[in-house]
Amino acid sequence: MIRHLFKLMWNQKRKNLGLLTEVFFSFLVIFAVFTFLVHNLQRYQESLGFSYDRVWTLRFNPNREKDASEEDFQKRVDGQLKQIDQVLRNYPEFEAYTFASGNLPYVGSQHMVGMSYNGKETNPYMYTTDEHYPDVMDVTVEQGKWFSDAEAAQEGIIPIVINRQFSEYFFENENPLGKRMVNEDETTTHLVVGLIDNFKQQGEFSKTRPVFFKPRVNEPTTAMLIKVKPGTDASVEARLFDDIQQITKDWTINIRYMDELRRLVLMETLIPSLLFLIICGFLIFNVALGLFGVVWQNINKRKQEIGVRRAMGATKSGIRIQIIGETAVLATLSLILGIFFAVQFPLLKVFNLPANVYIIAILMAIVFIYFIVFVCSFYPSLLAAKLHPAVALHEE
Amino acid sequence: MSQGQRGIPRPLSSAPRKYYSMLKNYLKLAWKVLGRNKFFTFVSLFGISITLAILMVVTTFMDHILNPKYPEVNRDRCTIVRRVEVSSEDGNSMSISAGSFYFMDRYVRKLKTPELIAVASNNNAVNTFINGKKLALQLIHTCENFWKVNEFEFLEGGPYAKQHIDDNQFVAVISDATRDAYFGEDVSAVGKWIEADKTRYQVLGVVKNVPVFQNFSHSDIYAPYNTSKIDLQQFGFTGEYVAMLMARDEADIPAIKAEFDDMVAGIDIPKSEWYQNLNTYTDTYLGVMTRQMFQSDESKEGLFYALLLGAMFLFMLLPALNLVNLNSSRIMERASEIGVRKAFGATSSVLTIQFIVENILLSLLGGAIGLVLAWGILEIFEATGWLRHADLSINFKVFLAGLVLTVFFGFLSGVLPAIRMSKMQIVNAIKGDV
Repeated sequence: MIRHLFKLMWNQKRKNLGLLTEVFFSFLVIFAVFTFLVHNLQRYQESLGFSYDRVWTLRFNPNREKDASEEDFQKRVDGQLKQIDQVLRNYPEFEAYTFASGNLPYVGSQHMVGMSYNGKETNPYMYTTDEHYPDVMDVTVEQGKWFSDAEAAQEGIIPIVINRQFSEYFFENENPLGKRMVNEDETTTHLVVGLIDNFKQQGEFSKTRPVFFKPRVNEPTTAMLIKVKPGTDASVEARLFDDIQQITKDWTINIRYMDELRRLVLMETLIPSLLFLIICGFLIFNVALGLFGVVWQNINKRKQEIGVRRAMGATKSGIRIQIIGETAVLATLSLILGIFFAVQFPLLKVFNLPANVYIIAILMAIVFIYFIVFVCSFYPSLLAAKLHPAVALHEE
Repeated sequence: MSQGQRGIPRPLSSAPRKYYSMLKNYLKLAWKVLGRNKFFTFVSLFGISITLAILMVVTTFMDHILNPKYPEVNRDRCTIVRRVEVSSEDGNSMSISAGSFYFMDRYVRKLKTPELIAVASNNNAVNTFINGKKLALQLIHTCENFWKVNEFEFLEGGPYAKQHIDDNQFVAVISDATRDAYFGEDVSAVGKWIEADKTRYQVLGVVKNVPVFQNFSHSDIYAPYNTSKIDLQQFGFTGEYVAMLMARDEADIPAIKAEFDDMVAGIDIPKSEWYQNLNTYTDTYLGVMTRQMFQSDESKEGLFYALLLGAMFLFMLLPALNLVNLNSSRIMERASEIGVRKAFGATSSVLTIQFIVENILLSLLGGAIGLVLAWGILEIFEATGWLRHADLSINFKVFLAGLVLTVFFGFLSGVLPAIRMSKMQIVNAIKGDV
């Protein structure tokens, strides 16, 4: 039966060339769409590692102006930061706050630093902060503990907290706690004191990366994170803004809500994705309509043949299966070519995505193509099966 | 054609009349074919119109991003300085950003070839509070030439001049939207004070909102650079300033680039700095964009346009293939017509042309629907407010591009079936056996 269908289609290969090419290109488009969807869904499912709810981000730029030297500048800023710390303590609206480096979650800025352990090297993201960070960002320490400010002040050792990806890269299956590492920018040894899960700074759709947190000791910094109590509004923000400005005078200060920053970052991913999906959806719908039209038209053309088949004893369902089968065979021919091209993506590691993304996408695209083919040939096949042999043969 | 007198109907000479009646026949036929099978006509028109609508929306965006528009109307004769890179000798440490005011002031503003040089900072996000509500605004610091290089439309008041900067006056020009948000809708703002980032500025003028596509001129508040909080005399090359160098005419641009490169080559970096190399350039708007896009050392406008056209062509390919297949299978409906016409001596080329003309007509109809759809899509885009102050009108150029696209599409999807049809054997065609 299937061989017969293949033969039928093969004999008409010139006539079917158009359809073959069309299904081939459609397969590639659908493959692209599914790769995109699977990839983003996989990333979305990996936990974020922190909470953005009720968090304010405060970024400031301590302009270097009248300070004679770098030390003077650092001393002045450190003094001002301590004053800010004093003022913020008196805000009943705040649950917790922390001073942090400028590479905040949902902010484009990144800070990479070279770390090495036993000859292994990589560039994880580095965040400089203090002991209040896990309270503000709701970060769960899975093993060990977060560093305390008292520990951080001790000479000779820098306690750090690392994430799972960091631990897997450097220590594989070993217990990371107590491991000593070298930071290429600093002479002091880093000691791992805590382990957290994922930490996706750039948000839900970003890649999980190795990151680590180290304590800030008296050096100037450019950001703060504040966890506010529910119901805190812009009037508190205005007061905070004024209070800080009183201390800092010439700094440029910018307060944003983290859920708002998150919305912007998500929009940056979602809007182009939505446009891409709409355009591809249109292409596929268009192709489906066209396929339907062509199959339908072919039935009209083949009335005699169908009449003969019916007269020779083919059943209604036999005709139906034949029409759907023929279209499926056609699709299979295109799919073989399409899969050949699609398989190159995981083989050649194009775009550096994990191979399983491509494989899932290929499988889904195959199913989808067969689904479209089935839907598009179902109604024409019904029409064909309804043809009465006498009427069909009468056409001649 | 002979010159006839006005008001007297005169016969057309034979050749145009022939084409005229032929075209009329084609039109009639095409119309009949459209009506014959409503489903096929719907599928064809659906595919054509949405394809063309999407292409017209893309073209409109490109038009607004690339072409000179309010207020950057002089973009064609401007080059931009927006990227300064300093690096250490071994290349391990590097800092890339816009230029410092020091660099712009000491070196860029001293260039001789450009007619005018404007410097402006990147947009700074500043907060201001009115009645317990926060207003997040963008602010840029500019020099006085900024108002000459860019042609702003002032709704009231005017720009600041060199005198304001020399006298260290705290003045500002604000956008229409800022005025509405801060002072109230259509309340005159000139002479009043606006506070942003704890600095008070006296409003000198109000300009029409600038669409977000205008990279170097869109903002909410414009203030002279003397009001900036950073120390402008601080030594250094990287910072947050960009420059626009306006040439007398486009032909001067290579000379400006050459002078700029000479100037950069002549800069001595003190031994005490951590960097030894300074790398910066000036290029046209598209030049800068393509350099960044392809991370290249020279502008790649050709590559950019090639990729854009390639992407558009690829996008058209699937709908066109679809139409080819539909058309090919529809030939059957018309086999007997073709057979008869062939039997009466119509040549292959006449039939091919007829079919292509029919297809182009169909595409034009689809294009017209597409134009309406594109207009609707752009209206929706504007209504969402994702793109601030974007005024996404379809202009005549885009319409022309759409027309060209439509005809191209019609041709692309009509030519193959037409050739197949014209090659049909008369006997088979009349029998309807194709």
